[in-house]
Amino acid sequence: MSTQDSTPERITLLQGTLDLLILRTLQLGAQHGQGVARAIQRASRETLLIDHGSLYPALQRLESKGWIRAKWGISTNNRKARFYELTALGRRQLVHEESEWRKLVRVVALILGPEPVGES
Amino acid sequence: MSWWGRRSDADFAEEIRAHLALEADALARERVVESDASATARRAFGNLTAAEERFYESQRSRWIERIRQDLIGAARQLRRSPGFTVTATLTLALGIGLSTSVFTVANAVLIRRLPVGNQKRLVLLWGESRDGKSSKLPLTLDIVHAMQRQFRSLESAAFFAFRGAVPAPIRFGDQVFPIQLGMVSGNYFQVLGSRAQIGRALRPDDDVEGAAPVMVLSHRAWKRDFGGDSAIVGKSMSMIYTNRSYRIVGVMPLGLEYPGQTDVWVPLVAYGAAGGFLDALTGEINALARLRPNATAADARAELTALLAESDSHALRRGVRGAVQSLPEAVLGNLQPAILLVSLIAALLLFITCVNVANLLFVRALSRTSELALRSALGANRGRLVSQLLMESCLLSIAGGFAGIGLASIVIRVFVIAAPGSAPRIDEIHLDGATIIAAVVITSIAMVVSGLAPALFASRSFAHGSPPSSSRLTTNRHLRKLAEGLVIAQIALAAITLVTAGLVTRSLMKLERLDLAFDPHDLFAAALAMSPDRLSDAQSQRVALALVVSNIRALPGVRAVTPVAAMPFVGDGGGVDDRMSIAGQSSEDRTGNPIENLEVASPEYFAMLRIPVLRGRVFSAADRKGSPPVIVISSSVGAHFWPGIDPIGRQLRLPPNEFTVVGVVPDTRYRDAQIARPAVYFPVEQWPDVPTTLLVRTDDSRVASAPAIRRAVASANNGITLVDASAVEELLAAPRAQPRFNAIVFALFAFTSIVLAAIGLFAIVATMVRQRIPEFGVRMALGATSKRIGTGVMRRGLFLAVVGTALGIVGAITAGRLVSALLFDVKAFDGGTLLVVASMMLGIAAVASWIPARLGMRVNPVTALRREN
Repeated sequence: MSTQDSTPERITLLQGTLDLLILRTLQLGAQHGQGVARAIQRASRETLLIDHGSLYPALQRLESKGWIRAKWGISTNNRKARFYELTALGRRQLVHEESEWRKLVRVVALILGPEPVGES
Repeated sequence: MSWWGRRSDADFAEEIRAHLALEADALARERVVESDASATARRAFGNLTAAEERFYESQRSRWIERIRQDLIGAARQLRRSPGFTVTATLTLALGIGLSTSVFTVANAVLIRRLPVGNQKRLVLLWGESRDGKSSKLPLTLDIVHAMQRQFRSLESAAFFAFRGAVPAPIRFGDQVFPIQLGMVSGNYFQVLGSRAQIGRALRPDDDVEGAAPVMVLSHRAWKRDFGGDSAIVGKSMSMIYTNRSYRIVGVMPLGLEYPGQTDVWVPLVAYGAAGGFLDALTGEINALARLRPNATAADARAELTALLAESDSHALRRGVRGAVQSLPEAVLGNLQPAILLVSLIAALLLFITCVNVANLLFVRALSRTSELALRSALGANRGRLVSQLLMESCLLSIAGGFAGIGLASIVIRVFVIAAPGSAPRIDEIHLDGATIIAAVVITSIAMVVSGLAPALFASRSFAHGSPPSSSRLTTNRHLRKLAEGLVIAQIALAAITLVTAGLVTRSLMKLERLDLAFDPHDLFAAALAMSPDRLSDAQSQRVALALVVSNIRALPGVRAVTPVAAMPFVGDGGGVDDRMSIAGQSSEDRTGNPIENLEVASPEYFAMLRIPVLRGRVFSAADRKGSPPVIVISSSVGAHFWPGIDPIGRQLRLPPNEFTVVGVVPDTRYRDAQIARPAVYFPVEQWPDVPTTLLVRTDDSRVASAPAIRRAVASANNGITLVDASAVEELLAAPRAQPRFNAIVFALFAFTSIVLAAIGLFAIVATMVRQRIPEFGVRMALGATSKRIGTGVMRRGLFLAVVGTALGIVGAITAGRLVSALLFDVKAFDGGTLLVVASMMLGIAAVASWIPARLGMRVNPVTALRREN
């Protein structure tokens, strides 16, 4: 996009995608909310900005579904933070959602056809 | 599980703070330059500020917003179910309104104040025999002087004549009034802390031998005999007994008539000395004292007992101990049990109201299970559900409270208008703010609690998981069991009040049909006054009285006329009382003798009053002045002096005379409608005074009436005037006023509690029917008759009623002991009353369940089954 400034382009997440990203992020180990947000941002090369308004409800949703669990702990730089980690159920769910997602992407790609050249 | 439900706001805020701190640390680590930092932060957090604002703002104002929403929601819910709202509001209004109004009226009538300073500290002191058999024994002046000197428990002590108020005619101008004379010490009114309304009260310097003769009037006598004329103060009246003139120095305030029904108070010492009977007066006196602030009646009693134990008198020392009674109790009666009872019943009524409304709320929670489940499924958490249900309770209690205040003021107004004029201080009754606030507060607390329970219950049951189908939820057993338990409690409480009302009413009926031991029907009592100018000696008085008697006897419809010593039902101090004794008793032994009512009787007296003669004979024309003095005694007098022995022919003495017992009659309730008293009858011819009261027996009270008697007395024109003529049955109304009032109060209470119980039962049966309509549909589709379904519903309602009534009757038997003080000749366990109450309760229960049962019978199976899906 030509109008972009120093801020990387943002895209809107599809409904349900954030859950998958959180689960994926937590697969690497327990993390607090801010860590999850940072990790997703970094992994998406600052394309995805996760705001609190969606991050925390999503964490809460996952927690209530039993896919992740949370407990208060101390961060690497000695701050109190609420750490989330995957449950066994969450791991299975991650596998399931990941395969669903890949399936969806493949199907959507098939319909859209090959990616045009020239657009970053 | 919803977002707010599991974690606290604080926990969330903590997490956000942690997030921000971690983010700041991260930024610092990345060593972004200052100017860049904010941009980076904005970028990184995107809508952080908005999120933060949204979060904190909502956190702060959320509860206000929530309350507003819940209030609107609650109002909407209440509007949507007008049946419930109206029933609950009416129940509250009825409970609050009736309990407060009845309590207010009862309190105003029962709790009265004497026009004295701090009446709680005023006590009367006298002696009682150590075996407790004889009470209210007189003290002597020496004892009272010792009390004044020594007693640490007393601030001050006064005394008055033991006999209380005695009848004494006084002359004012050319009129003679038969007044009740109270002889009191000079400091009497100082000890009472009572100031004169007009002029001054008696003073200690009035009460010395040779002091200027003065008297003060009671407010009642001032109004009755002198038309409330203030100019009366300063004028003089002559006492016919002492033949001395007394100056009226003051009028005492309304409500003060102690001792007895005093019309005129004179200083005891000065009066006794002038009349030459001072020693007789001071030998038998009672003490009135004011307790010190830190002393109790028990302290005074102990001091008096100790003082009596050191007495010079052997009999006093051995046989008499101190007795203390509070003055308000002596004047107004012991009201504690009655007040306690009325308060208790008012509280019970409020409690029933609370139970009822709680029940209605429960029932409503039951029928709203699907709504609650739906709301919970849509994301309302438990707190939210509870909050709205509470809000509904609050709205209801506000509405009910206002309606209750309205109802209470109406009931009180109606009561004041409808009350008989004789009801004491009826005009002072007004709605007591504190009472009604207390009632509203109690009910509101109950509402909140009773609203909370079903709210918690409902939310716990339905806030979990997915919304179950409505029909399965509506059969929630716990809720129904609880609601049914409440209805049972309510029916039980209603049964208790009904039993109490029944007992009080029965005791009133007994009192009205009381065996007085004489026949009050078609009987008139006439009080006369004799002019001392025209009738100066006993002989001329007797002649004049004989003329009046024959004039009255000549009236059409009059069968007999007899002179008597006292008007009927005058109680203490209204007649002549004394202690008779037998030979050989010392003056101290005599203190153990009963105090008898001394009556005069003509030969036809007993036949005319239809008093049966148990033994011996009544008087004859031969028992005249100069013949051997004879008496007729009542049975308890004989039983006291000659237990197990025939008293006929034995002697009783009233110093200096001795009298031979010639006949025995039963104790009558002539002096006091409630107590049959020992009495001694003297032949009218042998009685030293000329009686000034007549009893007139008529064939028909409509023919010979009070005005006719008045005319007959006036036509004699011989110095005798009629003071009062009334039908004896009318006089009976006064002693029955209090029991009648009690009956009215309890009937009101019982009525309210029955209405409340019926509403409660109706509500629960109706709800049960509504919930089981699908089931009824199925059963009808499968061939059940509507009659069978109706019977099933009725059976449930009646089962609750039977259990409730049974429990209530058990409770009533226990509570009966409390009311026994108010009962007259009715035992707390009264089979007849219990039977009537039980059948009434079941009848009402049958109606309350029959109406909803019909609803169940009219179920259309097709509609019902469709509703199920």
